[in-house]
Amino acid sequence: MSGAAAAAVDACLARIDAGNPKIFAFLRTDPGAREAAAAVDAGRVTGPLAGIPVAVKDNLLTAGLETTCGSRLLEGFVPSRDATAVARMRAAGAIVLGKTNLDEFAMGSSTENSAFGPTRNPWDPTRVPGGSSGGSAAAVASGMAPCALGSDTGGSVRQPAAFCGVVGLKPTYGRVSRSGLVAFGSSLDQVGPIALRAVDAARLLEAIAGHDPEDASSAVEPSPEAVAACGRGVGGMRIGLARHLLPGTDPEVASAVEEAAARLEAAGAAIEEIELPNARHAIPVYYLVATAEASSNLARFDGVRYGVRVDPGEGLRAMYRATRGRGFGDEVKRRILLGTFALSEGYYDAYYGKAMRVRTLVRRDFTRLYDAGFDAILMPTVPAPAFRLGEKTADPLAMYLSDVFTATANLAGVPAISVPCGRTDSGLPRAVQLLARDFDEESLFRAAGVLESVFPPSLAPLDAGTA
Amino acid sequence: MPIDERIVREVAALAHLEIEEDRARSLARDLESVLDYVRSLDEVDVSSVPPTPHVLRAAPASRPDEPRGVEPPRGASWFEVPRVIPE
Repeated sequence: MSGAAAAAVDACLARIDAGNPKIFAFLRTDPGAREAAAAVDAGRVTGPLAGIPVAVKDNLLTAGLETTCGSRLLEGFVPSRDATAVARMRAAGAIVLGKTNLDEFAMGSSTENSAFGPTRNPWDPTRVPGGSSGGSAAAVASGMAPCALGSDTGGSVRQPAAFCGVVGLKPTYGRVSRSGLVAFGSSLDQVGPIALRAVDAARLLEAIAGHDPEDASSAVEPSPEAVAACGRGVGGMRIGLARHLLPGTDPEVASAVEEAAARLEAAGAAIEEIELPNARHAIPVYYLVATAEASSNLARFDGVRYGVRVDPGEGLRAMYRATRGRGFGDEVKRRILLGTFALSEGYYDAYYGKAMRVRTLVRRDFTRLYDAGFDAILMPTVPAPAFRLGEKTADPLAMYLSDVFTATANLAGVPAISVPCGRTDSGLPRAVQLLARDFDEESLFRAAGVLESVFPPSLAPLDAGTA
Repeated sequence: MPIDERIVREVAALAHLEIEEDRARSLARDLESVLDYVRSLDEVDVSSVPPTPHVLRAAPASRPDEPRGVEPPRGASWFEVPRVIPE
C-alpha cells in the first residue's frame, strides 16, 4: 500500500511530467525519490521534514546524482557525497525530488545562462523566472515541488522568488553551511529555502541551519525558531521603510511596498522612514567582489579533476585553456575576466581594494539602523516584475541591475526574505523584501507570516500563457 | 582607462581562458561598459574606511588538526596515504 510520502512524491512527479516540458524547472529528477519515500512510509526515516519532497538547485552536491551547475564543463559529474544542507534535509526526512535549472555556476538573474536551456516563468512563459535559482522558484510556483533549496550570492534566491510569487530567504552569512555548495563568491554565498508558504521555508531553514565542522565560516549560533515566528505577528516590531529607493522602480513595485508597509503597521508594527545612503553602491561593489571571488573559485575547473576535459595535445596549459574556453559559457567567461582584471597587478587597489572599502560603508548602513533599534527594513526585492526572455541578454549591465535591491544583504551579510504581495494588473507576481539583524531570521518570518495572511499565496496554473 | 582587445587577451591568458578571435572585441566592450559603471565608486571617499573582505563576526571555527581516514603505523611519527602516482 502506498503511504503519504509516496503519494506526495508521485503527485510531484506527475506535475513535473505535465509542466516541465514547457517550464523546464528541473534538469533531472532523482531516480531514488520513490525509494526514499518508501523508506519514510515504512517508518525507517523520521523527522520534522518526513516525506516532504524538495527540489534542489543543481549547484548543491547530491551523492550519486549528477550535479552540473548548469554548465557543459560539469556535464556528467556525479558527486560522491551530499552537500551539508542536502544531507541535513535528508536526515530530517525530506526527499530529494530532483535537480533544478540555474544560470551557469549561479551567474545570472534570469536562468537564461544555463547551458541546457532557459527556465520559463510559470505565470507567463514568455517571461523569465529570475535567477539564478530560477528552476527552484519555478518548480515551487508551479506546484512541481512544495519547497526547494536555492543559493543566493547577490539575490539568486530572493529575485526569482519575487518573479515567481513564492517565499525566498537568504539566511545570515554563516547560518547555513556552504560545504558542498559549488562556490561562486565565498564571502557572499548562502544556501536558502524557497517555498510557497513562509512556514515551509521556515521548516526547511530549521533543518539545514547550524554549525558544520566542514565549513569553518558556518556560525555556532543556535538555530532560529523560524516556524514559531511565522505565527507570532509583528506587534512591537520597529520596521524601517526605505522609501527613498522607490523612485525609478515600476509603479506596481512601489505600490506593493507601500501596501505592505500599511499592512504591517495595521498589524501592530511601527513603520518609520529610513535611508540606506550607500545602497546605490551595492551593484558596483557586488560585481567587483563577486567576480573577483569567482575568478579564484572557478580556477579549480581546469579539466583535471572535474567534468569535461578538452585536450588539444599541446601540453597542460593548452588543455586548461581549451577546457575552460569551451566548457564555460559567455557570462561565466565575462565574470572570470572581470574578476581577474579587478585582482590583477596595477588594478587591484583601484577596483577590488576600493570595493572592499565601500562594502564596509554598505554594512554600516545596516548596523547603524539596527543599533538605533530597528528590527527590520522594508524595501523592494526587484525594481520591476519579471521581464521577457531575451530582453536583457544582450546587455550584461542591464541584467546586473535587476539585483540592485538584493545585493546589499549579501555584501552586509544580513538575512533577507522576499515575500509575495499579490499580483500586478497583468497578473505577474509582486513582492517585497525585508532585511533584519545578523541571525534574526525570526523577525523576517514574523513579517512574512503577517503579509501571507493578507496576500495568500497561490500556485501558477500549468496552462498559463497557452491560448 | 578603457579596456581594449589587448587587455582582454592578457587577462584571458592570466585566467587560462581560451577566447575565440572574433570574441575579444565584444568582450572588451562588455567589460568596459561594466567597468564604466563601476567607476561611480570613484566619487566615494574611503580614505579612512577599512576594507571588508568578509562579514564573519567571529573567528572561523576551526576543527582539531588531525588526520582522517589514515592511521600512523604503530609507534611511527608519520602516516601512510594511498598511492596516487603510478609506479
